[in-house]
Amino acid sequence: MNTTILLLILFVVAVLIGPFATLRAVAYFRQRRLPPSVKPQPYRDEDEDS
Amino acid sequence: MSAWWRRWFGGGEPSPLPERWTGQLRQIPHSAYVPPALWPRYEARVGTFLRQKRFIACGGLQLEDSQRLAVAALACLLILREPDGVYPPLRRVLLYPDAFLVPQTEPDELGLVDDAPQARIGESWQRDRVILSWADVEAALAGDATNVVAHEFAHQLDDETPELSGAPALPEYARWAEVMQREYQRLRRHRRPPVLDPYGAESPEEFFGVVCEAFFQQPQALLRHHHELYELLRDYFLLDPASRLLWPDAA
Repeated sequence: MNTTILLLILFVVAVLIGPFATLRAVAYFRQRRLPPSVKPQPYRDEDEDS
Repeated sequence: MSAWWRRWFGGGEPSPLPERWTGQLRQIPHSAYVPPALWPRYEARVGTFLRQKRFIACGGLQLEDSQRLAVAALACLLILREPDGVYPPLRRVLLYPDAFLVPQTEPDELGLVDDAPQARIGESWQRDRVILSWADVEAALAGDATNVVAHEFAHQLDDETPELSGAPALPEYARWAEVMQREYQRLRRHRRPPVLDPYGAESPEEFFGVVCEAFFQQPQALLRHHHELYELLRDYFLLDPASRLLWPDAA
């Protein structure tokens, strides 16, 4: 197959797939940046007078 | 290559627990909850956890094998029912010597961000990491009502179903939804709950974390005060911790 045609096909595939791959990457990194579920330090009442 | 693939994608054969750790695993108090029929599966899950997950010491902690084993042993109690896989998305477990301070970035209900850092004993990040305070892991092993490992790894189970809050992956949700919703509302109404940490009233996700803590740390009390909740978790985790009294004071 002619090299030019092969490169053209690869270029078209990249143009078609590129935006979807970018969107998927953005969604992935947005999800990674979600705040974590946390366990705060429990409040311990150590006042012996009470 | 295959080790790399398993580390990142979580598949492959379960890893047997190294022989030198088999005896040590039985020294972990909570391992007494595991019935003999499930013990081979439990050992395999702990072995896989230790091989797949990377432990990172933070805040000057000198990480020891016994600490890795303790975290793995407590975490794997939650996944005895799973057909396979040991928290597949999880990559790293970060251990601090004690509670750690985190700058707050989330606004409160008034839209204000407090500039004072918050002391935390655990965090669970979706997809890849859990952060724990070793002092609180030790406290759980000694029978404290707080079990930060159960709490954070319950979040990891919860994250398997991002479309649902406070529920792991289940074949059907009717019973789960009914019991959890009723008990969640009950905790929200209660001023001084006798067993469950009031922090569970924050959200359904935190409620699931809190009830898992009570299930492993105060099973008799949970059975007494919230028997439907206890039975739901017993059927889910395939464990009946109320039948074993680990710490008489917690009963």
